[in-house]
Amino acid sequence: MQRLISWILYYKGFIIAGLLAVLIISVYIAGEMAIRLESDEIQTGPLRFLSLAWQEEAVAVVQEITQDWNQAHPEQQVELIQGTWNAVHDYLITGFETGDIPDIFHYESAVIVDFALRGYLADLAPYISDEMRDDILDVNWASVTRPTGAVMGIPFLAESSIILYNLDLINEAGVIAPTNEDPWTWDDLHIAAKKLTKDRDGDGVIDQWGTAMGLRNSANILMNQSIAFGGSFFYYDEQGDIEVRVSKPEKELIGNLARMLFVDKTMSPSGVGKSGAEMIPGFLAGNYAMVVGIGSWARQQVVENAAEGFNWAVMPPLKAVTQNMGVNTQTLSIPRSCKRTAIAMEFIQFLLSSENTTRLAASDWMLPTRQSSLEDPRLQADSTGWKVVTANAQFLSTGPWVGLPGYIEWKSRVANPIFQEFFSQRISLDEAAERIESESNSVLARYQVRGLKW
Amino acid sequence: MVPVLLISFIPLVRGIYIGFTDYELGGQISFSGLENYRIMLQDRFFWRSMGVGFLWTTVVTALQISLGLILALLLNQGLRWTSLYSVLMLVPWAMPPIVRGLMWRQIYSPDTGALNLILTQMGLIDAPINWLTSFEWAIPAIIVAGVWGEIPKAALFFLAGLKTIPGSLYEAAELDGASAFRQFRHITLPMMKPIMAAVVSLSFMWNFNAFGLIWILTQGGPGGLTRLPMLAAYEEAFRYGYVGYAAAIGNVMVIIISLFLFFYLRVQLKERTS
Repeated sequence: MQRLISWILYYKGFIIAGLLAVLIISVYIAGEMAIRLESDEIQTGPLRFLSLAWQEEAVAVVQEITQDWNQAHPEQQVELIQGTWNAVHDYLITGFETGDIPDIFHYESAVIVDFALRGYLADLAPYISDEMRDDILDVNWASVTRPTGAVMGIPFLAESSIILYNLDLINEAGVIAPTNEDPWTWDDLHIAAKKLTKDRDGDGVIDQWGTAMGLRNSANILMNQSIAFGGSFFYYDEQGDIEVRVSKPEKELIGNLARMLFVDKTMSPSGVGKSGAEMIPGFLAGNYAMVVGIGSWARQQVVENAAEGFNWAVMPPLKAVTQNMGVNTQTLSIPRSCKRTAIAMEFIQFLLSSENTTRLAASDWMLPTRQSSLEDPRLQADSTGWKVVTANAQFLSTGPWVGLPGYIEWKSRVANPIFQEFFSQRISLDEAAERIESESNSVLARYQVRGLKW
Repeated sequence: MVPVLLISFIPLVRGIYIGFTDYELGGQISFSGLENYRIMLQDRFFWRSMGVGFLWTTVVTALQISLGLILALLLNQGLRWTSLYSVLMLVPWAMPPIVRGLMWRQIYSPDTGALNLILTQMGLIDAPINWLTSFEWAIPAIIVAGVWGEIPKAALFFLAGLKTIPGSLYEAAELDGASAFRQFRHITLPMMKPIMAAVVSLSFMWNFNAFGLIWILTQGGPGGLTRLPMLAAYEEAFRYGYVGYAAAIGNVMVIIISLFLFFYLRVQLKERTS
């Protein structure tokens, strides 16, 4: 016994180290087993659906549709997970890397392109019904379809840029608002903005601005609007290589905004540091006669928050060379790791039937991607701008940046910061153009080296 | 020991290793040697974030130390309600950085923020300033928010240090006719030196690692002006998918912080030996 004790004491260091190693390995194995058990449960339990609907009405509609599915499919339930736009990216990235990812998730085409390039997403093309394929507009499919025909998500809502205007202020200034048949040009906007910019209380400070625009992260809106000027920032050469250029059409668009901000002083400078949503309180307070380049969803905020008697309407897109604009769609996707793609896709087809797409669009105040929904009388009301918004579908167009590896990084690392500097008057338009061109190519080169292909 | 190994050491070692790989989201991990560090040398976004990081850390630490010391000296005067003040003083520190960030975002709000309201009513500004998105004001704005939350911590350490200085030293100095400033310079400061070194080192480490507060306030904007190193590492990993490169930034931060940790430990060791 004494020998054993002295042996233990002699080798105590090794024994402690050995015990620690056994403990660590046990914890590791236990963890792995727990993950495996959980993963088995994930493959047999309810399908998990991450929704990003956030407007109260939209959340209710998604809940109702999911309940309808669950009632009709007791053998395959769907668990609704309510996500938020602010946190979804980190949530999904972590989920993809750990394997704990919802079976169906809501996001947007510009980002799922990046997910697709990383191999995270299932190809949904084989599961799409003919009815759905034919009804969703081609331009919306283009935002999620790879050149091989693989479909990375089902587009169900499209972002459409609108101009909100204060009807009373426009009438008071004697300005005649444009119609779908007779849209304004940018010059018309400049003239109207001058008439509508006023110092109402005579204290020498402008308190009613003709226009306002949320320019904090303006890359998206500038990219989409540049199409109307015949530009696009991204150009392919004959070899199929991409090049970023800020040429005449892009400069014309940015120059128009700069003219209103810095020369005519008919655009509120407060928009430089704000998002589109942050312009709404000023619009409702009568500080801005027109809010340019805001999403159609903003109408819901106006309806919900406007004082009684506040008269407003929506203008059709401004005409430059055309009225076209780039499209970004909201999508539903299925991860490649999902073992029940067919049934998950059945749920998506149910959720995005023509009737449900109309309900979702109406409750989120966004443009539906289906032709049948666009024609639905519920989305044709004049008073809330639906007629103008649904007519915008004809102007949607696919920018050359769709499917471009590195676009997300380019936008947040190059375009947005440089536009912020430009609109804060720290650099000239020529400097901004030069920097965008030179900095873009170094960012995009990282992706070209890796040979990623859409 | 085992929890420390599991929770701290293993992830740390793994994190350091990933910094030497080309790991990208969705891809495989393979050892890439010093490639990430070679890229880092030429990456102006990285150097810019390091520059902002050092500026933020230096200014915030300096202000925290000075204001914390002033606060501690005031609380050490034996005023009435000192205990109450000491408790109230801890409130900003007790708030998580995210909550502090939300509070300051509201204060700085161009439309409904208290700061613009006060300055406009006082006639100091004509129109509301968008503090957090303005190139001129964003850095001062985050510095104020950062300093506000961390002063109590410094003050608390200093107050504890002040309590350990024997009163007899001040009495002797007074008898010799030393002014309050001379007493502060020749008694308080030298006696507080070890604790000051500790607070400076720890504050530097905490501030250099700041994330939550800045993320809530500016997300690194405008134009990347407030993109501290931790934000840069986060964006590289979660926004752009360069996990290996993000870990490499983390490794560089660990080295910088280790230097301060070394300084802190050396002071502690010196103090114990003396």
